[in-house]
Amino acid sequence: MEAVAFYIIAAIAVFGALLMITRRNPLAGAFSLVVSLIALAGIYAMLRAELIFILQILVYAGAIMVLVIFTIMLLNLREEELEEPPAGKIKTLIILAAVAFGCYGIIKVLSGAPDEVPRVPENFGSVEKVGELMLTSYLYPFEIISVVLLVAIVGVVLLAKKVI
Amino acid sequence: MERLADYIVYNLPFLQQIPRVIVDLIIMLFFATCMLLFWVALFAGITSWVERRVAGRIQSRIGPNRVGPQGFLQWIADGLKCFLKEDFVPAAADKKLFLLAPYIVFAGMFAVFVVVPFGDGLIISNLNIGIFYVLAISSLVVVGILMSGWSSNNKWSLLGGMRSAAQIVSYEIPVSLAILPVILLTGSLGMQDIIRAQGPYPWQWFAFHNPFTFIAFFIFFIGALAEGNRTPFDIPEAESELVAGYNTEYSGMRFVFFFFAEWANLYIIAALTVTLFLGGWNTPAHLYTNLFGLLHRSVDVAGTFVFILKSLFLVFVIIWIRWTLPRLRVDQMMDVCWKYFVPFSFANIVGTIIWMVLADAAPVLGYVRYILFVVGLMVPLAIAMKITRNFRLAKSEIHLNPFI
Amino acid sequence: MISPPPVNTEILNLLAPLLVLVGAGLLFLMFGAFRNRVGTFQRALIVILYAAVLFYVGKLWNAEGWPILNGMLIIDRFSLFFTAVVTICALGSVLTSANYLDRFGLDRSEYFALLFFATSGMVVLVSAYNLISLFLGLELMSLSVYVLVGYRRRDFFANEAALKYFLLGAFAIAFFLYGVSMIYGLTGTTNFKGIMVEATSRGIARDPLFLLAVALILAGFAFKISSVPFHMWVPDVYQGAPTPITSLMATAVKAASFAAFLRLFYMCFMMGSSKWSGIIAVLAVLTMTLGNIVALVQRNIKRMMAYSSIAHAGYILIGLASLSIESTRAASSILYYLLAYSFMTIGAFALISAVEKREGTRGLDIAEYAGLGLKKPFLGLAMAVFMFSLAGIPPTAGFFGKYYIFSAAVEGGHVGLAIIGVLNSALSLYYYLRVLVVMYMQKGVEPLDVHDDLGVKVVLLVSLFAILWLGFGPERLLPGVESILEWTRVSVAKIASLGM
Repeated sequence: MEAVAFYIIAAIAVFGALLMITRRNPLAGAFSLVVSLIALAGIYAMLRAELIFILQILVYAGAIMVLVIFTIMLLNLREEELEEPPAGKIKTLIILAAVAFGCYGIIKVLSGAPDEVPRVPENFGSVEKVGELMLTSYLYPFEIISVVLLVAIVGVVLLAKKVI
Repeated sequence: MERLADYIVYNLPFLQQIPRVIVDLIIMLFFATCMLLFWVALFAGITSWVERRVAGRIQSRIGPNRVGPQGFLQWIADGLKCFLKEDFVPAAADKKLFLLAPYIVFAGMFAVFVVVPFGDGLIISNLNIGIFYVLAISSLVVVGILMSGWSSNNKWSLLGGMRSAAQIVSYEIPVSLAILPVILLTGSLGMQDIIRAQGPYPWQWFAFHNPFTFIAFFIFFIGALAEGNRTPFDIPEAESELVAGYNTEYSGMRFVFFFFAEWANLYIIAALTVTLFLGGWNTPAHLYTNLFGLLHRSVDVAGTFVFILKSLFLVFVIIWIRWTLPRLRVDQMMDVCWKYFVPFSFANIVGTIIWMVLADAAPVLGYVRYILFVVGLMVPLAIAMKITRNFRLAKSEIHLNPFI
Repeated sequence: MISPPPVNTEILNLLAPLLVLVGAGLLFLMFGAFRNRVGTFQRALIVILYAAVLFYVGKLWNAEGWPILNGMLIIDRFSLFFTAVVTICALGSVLTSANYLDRFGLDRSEYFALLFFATSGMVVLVSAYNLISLFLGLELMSLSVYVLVGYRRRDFFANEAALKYFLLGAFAIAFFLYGVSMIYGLTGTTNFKGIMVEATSRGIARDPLFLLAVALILAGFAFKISSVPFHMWVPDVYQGAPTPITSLMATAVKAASFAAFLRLFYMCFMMGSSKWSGIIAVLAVLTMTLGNIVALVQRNIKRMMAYSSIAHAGYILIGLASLSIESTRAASSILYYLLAYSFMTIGAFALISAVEKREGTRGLDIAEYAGLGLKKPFLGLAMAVFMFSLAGIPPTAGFFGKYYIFSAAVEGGHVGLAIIGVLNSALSLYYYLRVLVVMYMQKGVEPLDVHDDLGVKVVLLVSLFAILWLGFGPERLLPGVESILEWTRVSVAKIASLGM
């Protein structure tokens, strides 16, 4: 039952991603990416990682993609300004890569499931657990990320300001 | 929900043959449909009538009063009319996205109802990420709005969609930040936990807990209005500038879906405010459930009743605001958000943390909530007095009787 | 024998260099809120703060090198050595900046704040012991440098450079992250030691997905160290960036990336598989050959230095290709080379920034150096030493750097690589000496306008001294090369032993 749901969601995610790279219109591509990202959130939900699921939707589908779509709409590209669709060669390459990955995946699946399935600990993916991890095991990355974000903010303000 | 599903499966043995997941899914869908038909649809429809009547009274006119008593059935007539209208797609529109957009907007709004706590145990799913879920799902609505705005291939739609996206994305920040003090005080994101953390009496509500939550309450409420594109922040659908904003090109049922979503959102704003700041379904009667014993269920019913009453009152306030205040300019709106709300909500978070530490050390601070409660009471009282005075000054021109 | 992890105050001690840098960045952001220009006081403060970092590095030199904060980072001699290197490079960049920023009207304290943040990113990078902190260090460093590259916003070249660097850098980081995610999927950990244990114990190292992951990570690093085929951005970005920042990119960014590259590959991927040295050897040959050949025809000195820096990345890759578990020779030669290379590049760029002009030909054409050698003897002498050192002529540090790298290659059985390297450095002699020819043999048409203020002079003097000091052979200057090699040998050996 879970496997069926997983394969459906995974198929949606892959399909959305494929649509995203094959659409000529950037906006259609962006909307396909939203589909893919939400499907990904679905996979997180199936893994009982509730917080990550919500963050995925909130941050990617809700905020980042909205900004991406917003920017594309501001640019307001016309049909004739769009680049030519990728040539046949690139398409073949993509398909070949996809086939190679598919074969690899099939071999992996056929070669048997892992010996032991790791047990999901209590409270896995809950807000408390993630919060606790962030302030204990991952304290250092957590602090560094805040500096990274600060630099990003300062940098954007610096580059966008009218006068230095 | 799970308890309910257990109960049903237990009483209907033939269900035990079917895998439990499917049963759960069916029960969930069933309740969702019920919710949609008997609550959201009904509520949205009736609100459309109420809003027009209130608007009429505020503007000293009558409003719809022909269909049914006092025009009460007007919404059914409108709904029927839209049902029968042609589902029109402009020739230049991007057909697929155009057709899809209303559903996304509607689904986003409707999905929020999953975590609205109507009563003790009366919640579709008490997710432990409750309030966070609301923020995430309602941010999805923007995608639908942008989709409709762009796919209509109409400059008003596009402008409306872009304004709406900019507005929702910016106001999401102060709204989320204004929720944080409440989460800090509760220690949980679950909706029921938040309600339980507030006492049954009004001065135990989070709105009056400390000066910072008091401010957070206003920031949240105003920010939520902006997120829902309500006046004074209805710039995305400003009639005088943009025809109707992102839904200009829509007609028939798809148009209704947009309005469905908008009125459903009205209720969501109210319900969230009640849950987070105004005590939710908590009533003094909840203190005495043990005493009454058998009456346990009726206390729950009373709680639900109180919850709905409070949120309906807030819905009325929102409608009232809409027909009283003028619209803000785009830049003013952004100023309010980024220059006032965001810094204030940050200060609120820090202030709440300090307050929590101080309150541990000095229990005297607990009394501040009574002062705040009195201050909070003064606000509606002052407004009421002003209204009465206005009525007295304009004696003859105003019809006080709402039923004409 | 495993000793217990250090307690809290000790961790703060170990983090002191990083804390000083981040704190300094925040401090200068605060300065920016009150006053736009950077005064003498602030400039002195910058130098003092960087000196404080060096002081802490010295203080921690004998500290126990254990992974701290749940194995997120490690402060050992290896990371301390590179902390010192990037700090010195950043200090060089700061000293060069003062006059340059004044002349170009860019004098803002955010510039220095970002410089501090970039340096702290490098420190995070060189002390990373976990793929997550490695990634964050890379990102912190890159983000700050992206902004610094585009700092002259009115300038067309700067905009081009910033955009190119940012977009390509984002792609490279994405490659890197994709590789990291695969590694995590395969091994279930992002900790270096964990990856090493998993990779060697369960035969994951032979999994094609693992190879793909390592290739992707390699691509990410190859971008940062400007190795072929990820070198396209280098000339444009080096040309467009403010010269002190170019100097930072050519030295500190490269050194920090190489440090992380070295640690990661040495610890996690080299073990039990010699495939990587083959691939890196190919990269090395391509990188140095392309860099040297294209540098031959450059007229713009910054572009020439860009290609020269590509070529030097190639030499260092030789060292990486000849890494082996048994001997630390190759690793220590890389460390030595990076130190030597940093000094000569800082010096060269300090001089370039002193000659650079705001308008007209911008003073970047090599032809404009005509007559410099005779009019400004000290500058001429310094430039001559830098160029000799870059070309690898004894008795400069550049010569010994190359000597150690090539001998390590021979020792590791890569004789072919060493021969190609020697041929390449012979080739490079042409374009390095051409600068000297123009400087000494040609008469300048225009009057030279060189802004060699105190900062630039100090940088020139220090790097001159360092190059000669590093270069005068282990026999004559005992505390010189040999001890550095010994230190680095010890520290590299320590890394190897620590992983066990």
